[in-house]
Amino acid sequence: MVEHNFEILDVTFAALADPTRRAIIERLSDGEQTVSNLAAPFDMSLAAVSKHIHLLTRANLVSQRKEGRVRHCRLEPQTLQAAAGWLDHYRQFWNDKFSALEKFLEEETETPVNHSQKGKRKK
Amino acid sequence: MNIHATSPQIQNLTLSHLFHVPAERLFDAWTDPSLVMQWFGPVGFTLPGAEIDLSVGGSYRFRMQPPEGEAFDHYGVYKVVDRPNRLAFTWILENHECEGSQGLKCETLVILDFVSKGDKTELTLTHEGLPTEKAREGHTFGWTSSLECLDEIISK
Repeated sequence: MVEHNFEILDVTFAALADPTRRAIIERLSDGEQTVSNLAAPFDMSLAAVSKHIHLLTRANLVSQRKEGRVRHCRLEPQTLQAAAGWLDHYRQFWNDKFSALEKFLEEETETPVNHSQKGKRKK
Repeated sequence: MNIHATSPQIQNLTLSHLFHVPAERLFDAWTDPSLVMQWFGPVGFTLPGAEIDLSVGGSYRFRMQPPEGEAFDHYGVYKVVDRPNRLAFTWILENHECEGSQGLKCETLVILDFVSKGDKTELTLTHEGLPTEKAREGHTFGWTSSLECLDEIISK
């Protein structure tokens, strides 16, 4: 069985269950950014964006460092990777289902064709 | 690691595949109990029973028989029934055998979109794996149990 740290996963998923926070993560995937840069495109106060960043930091999805008065944020990809782990399970599961369905439909297709050939021969 | 591609899909899983059958036939393979029983069981499992009430708000219940051990039910409720275009149903993970998962369940949503391409059909499956914050509040929700149970189910 694959090892998951479930408590961390729970915190991670809670942090990701918000469109603003997902947008922040998406923007950080292009590289490190200052907090004010990050906040600029959002239609909300700097304080509100800071709160989202704080939550992401607590979930270890984002880390911050201070350079003088400027705070820089960067993505912590390994946490995101762990959260994505469950997707791999389902991806495998549904891939298996799709293969099984295709096989079943192919086998089903062969049967009626044989029947109709039989029918023709009888005529 | 290409995070840019990963992060927007973190909550949802999407798969597409072109099946060489008309949409109606593909749709029926998901909704006719006698057909579902022939292909849906996880690898190594059999599906000795399937009950389907194909209506919005109706439920489905699939009996899953592992190679060893007791059979269990997989079930959920249909949210969209639009033959042969769209089918959506909740996907509930619940297992009483997994340690620590007693009484816990995790409700997710599976959406199937059928798009006709001549005599073929493109099927897109979206599995919304992560409930919204609001849904989290409304459900007894345990990632621990769901992941462990999923492991238990699909690793066999």
